[in-house]
Order: sequence, then structure tokens, then C-alpha cells
Amino acid sequence: MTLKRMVPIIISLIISSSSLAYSEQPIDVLQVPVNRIVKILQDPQFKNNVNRKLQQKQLREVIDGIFNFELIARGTIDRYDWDKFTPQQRTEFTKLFSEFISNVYFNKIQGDYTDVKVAYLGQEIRSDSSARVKTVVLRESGEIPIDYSMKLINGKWWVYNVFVEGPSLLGNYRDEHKRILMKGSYTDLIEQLKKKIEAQKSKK
Amino acid sequence: MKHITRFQNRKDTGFNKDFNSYEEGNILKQALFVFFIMIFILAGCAHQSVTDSSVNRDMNGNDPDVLTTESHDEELDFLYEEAEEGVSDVADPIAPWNKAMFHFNDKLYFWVLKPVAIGYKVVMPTPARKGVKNFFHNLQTPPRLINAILQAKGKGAGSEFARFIINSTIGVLGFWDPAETYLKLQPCEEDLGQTLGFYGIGNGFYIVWPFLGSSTLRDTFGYVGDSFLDPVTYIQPTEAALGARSLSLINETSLTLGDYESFKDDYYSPYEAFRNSYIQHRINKVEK
Repeated sequence: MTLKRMVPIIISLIISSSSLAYSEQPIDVLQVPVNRIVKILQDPQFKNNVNRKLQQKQLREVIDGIFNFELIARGTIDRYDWDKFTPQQRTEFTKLFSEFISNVYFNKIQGDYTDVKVAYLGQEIRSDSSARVKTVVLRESGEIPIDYSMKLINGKWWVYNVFVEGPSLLGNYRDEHKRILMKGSYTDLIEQLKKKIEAQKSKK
Repeated sequence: MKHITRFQNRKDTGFNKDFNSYEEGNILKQALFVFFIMIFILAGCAHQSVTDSSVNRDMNGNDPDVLTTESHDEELDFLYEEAEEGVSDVADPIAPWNKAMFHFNDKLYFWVLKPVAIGYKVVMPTPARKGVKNFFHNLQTPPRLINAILQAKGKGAGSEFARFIINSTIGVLGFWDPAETYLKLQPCEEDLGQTLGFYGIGNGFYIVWPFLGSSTLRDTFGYVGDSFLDPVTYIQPTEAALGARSLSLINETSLTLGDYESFKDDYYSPYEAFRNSYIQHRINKVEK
């Protein structure tokens, strides 16, 4: 084998070994579930809001594998407020907020994103275990830039924050929760959260 | 539309009479003059510094394997820092006015804008509505171009200039966007509010305007300054300019129906959530 012939082999070896070291790029990890979500949304069997419940079930399976709701819920509460919560309250809040936020997400995408494409613009590696992936959702009325903050936990990348055109999920709800807890108590927060979830349910 | 009438009224009271007789270059000079005056005014008003949002943060090398709901605070620094970054810190001294205007705009949307936009949507197919959107966007190139130049964004300014030439000709008066479709020339969404922010001028305080919605002191000055560069402002007669603005607004609403409703459903207190979102959105744009 001549040297010339070996060059591509060597190059490909180098590339494959380096891609082994970084086999799980956050942008690749994110693409799988996001593409899957787009596919579910475009599935003809769910056209015109038929079988909404079944579609939600499929969507939930996908997002449960990529969104870390424990981190998301916790990030929306100021750490001093969180310290005041009892363990039961923490669990209750995490459960309710996860339900609320996934409903928010479903309501946003179901029916509205049938003609949608997602472009992956790139990723910003911020440390060994954290990254931000930049995407753009192309829908009929225009483009929506959506960025995902991801964290490597137990060897798996999880989404813990979403930025839609600048404002972030964590920031917006933290602002809201802070205000509620400043004026009221944990009970008020849960009450408001439950009210919102009820409203979501009645809308369907 | 009140805000438009406000502008048009000025036109009739002599302020703009001289203005109309000016040539294009003089209009630019005027705009720059206004711009620098505003810098002086705002430099005095800007007491509110934007929250530090520098992107690079150390993850202080914690073992990510131990993150759970019950993990220690320090391991969640990354989470808290990022969450805190997303909370705006804007003064709202005229909250009663703002809340009243928020309420007014809310009613305006549900009682007027939305029904009209729904009717408009019925008669105008989506490609036509996208065309109208493109047309107005192309027409409003001057403020974007000037602000890109003022922020020394050569690439953005070049893109805006090329887009304007291509879309106005091949894109038939801007109804189509061949510059982006075929040449991948992205628009550079700059405005005077962002330019002022770029030079370190803070938000001042939060203002909600009837018809126009969320703004800040800085962005209001920006809006007024930009409107001098907006060709729609100079459409004669006044009724035609008013009509053009209304069409643009209704067209835009028809393309985003449901977005406002779902935003309101998603938050406990829409006024505050809207304020936070607006400020974060602007911080993000100024940084870009």
C-alpha cells in the first residue's frame, strides 16, 4: 500500500477515534428526540386533533427521556425558598410543575406545528458536562430560535432549560414563583399551580 | 390607531412640513441629530444597569454523577445561575399606567385585532400574507441598515443592503425573499433601541404603550428615532400611512394568531410574565 493510499485511512482513523472519545455530542443526543417529536406531530393519524390523548402519550415518552423535570422544577424556585420546603412539598411541587410544564409544551406544539422543520445551528460546549444547543424552528409564520441548555448526568445528556427567542423557561417561571412566594406561602404556590393545571385540562 | 395619528398630527403642525421639503440626506442628518440628542438624554436617565449576563461560567468541576433533587446546593450552581440570569431586573415606576395599558391592549387584541385578523386570514391565503409581511419588512430596511452601521456590524449591514437590492428587484418590491431563499442572506434585525443598548445605555424603566405594547424608556426613544427612517411614516396622505400600518399589524396578527392566548395560559400573572419576557428578549437582542 502506497503512502498516498494510506492517508485517507489514517485520517479516517483519527476522526473515528476522536469521535469515539466524544461519541455523545449533545447536539446529536438532542436531535434524536426532537426529530421524533416532529415526526409524531406530523403523523397523519393525529391530523385535525384526532387522538390527541394518544399523541400526547407518545410525546410524553419522548420528552421524559430528554427533559430533566427534576432540575427544571428546582431551577424555578429560589434556593432559599427551596430550603424552606419540606421533602414532601419538594416532591409534590416537582410532580405538579412537571405536569404543568409538559402540558404547556403540548398545548404549544400540538396542532400548531404540523408543517414544521427544525434546523440545528450548532452547540456551545461550556464545560465537560454542560452545553447549549442552538436550533431554529421553521414554521409557517416564521422562524423561532430555540436553544436548549443540557447537562451531562450519569453519562447521559439532559435538557434543563429552554430559551425561546431570548427568554428562558427557568427565568420566566423563577420570576413568577419568586413573586408568589414573596407575597404568600408554599400553599399559595401549589394552589395557583393546581388552578393552572385545571385550566389546561378544561381546555382540551 | 392612536400612535400613528400622533405621528401624523405632528406632520400637520409644521414640525414635519419642513421635514417633507428636505431631501433624503437631510432626513438622515436629522435622524442622526435626534439620535445623538437621545444619547445625551438617555445617558442621564439610564440608572438601571442590565443584569450581568456574561455567558461563560465555570461549572466549578463538580461531579455531575451525583445530581439529584436532593443534591447539595453548590452542585446546582449552574442551574441557579442560569435561572437567575433569566430574571429581569427592570424598574417599573409607572406600573399603574402600564397595567391599565396592558389591559387596554389585551381588550384591543380580543375585541378588534383578533376578529379582524381572522376575517383577513379567510380571504388572504398564507403565501399572500407572507408576501405582505415580506413587503413591509423590505420597506423597513433603512432603520435596520443604519442601526447595523451604527453598531459597526459590517456583515449585517452588507446583508441588509444586498437583501434590499435583490428583494426589491428580483423579489418584486420585496414580496418575495429570494435573497434568503437562494443566497442565504439573513436579515439583520437591528433597531435604535438595540443600538443605544449596544453603547451601554440601560432600559431606563418599563413602559407599556397603547397599540404598541411593551417597551422601555430607551426603546421608546429608539422607536421614535427609527420611525424617522421608516418610509411608511412619509406616506401621503395621512390616511394612507395609517392604512399601511393597520394592514401590517393585521397581517402580522393573522400569522401569529393563538400565540398571545397561549402565552397568557402559560403564566400565573401575565403582566409580570410579559414584562420579564420582553426585557429578556431585548437583552438577548442587544447581545447579538
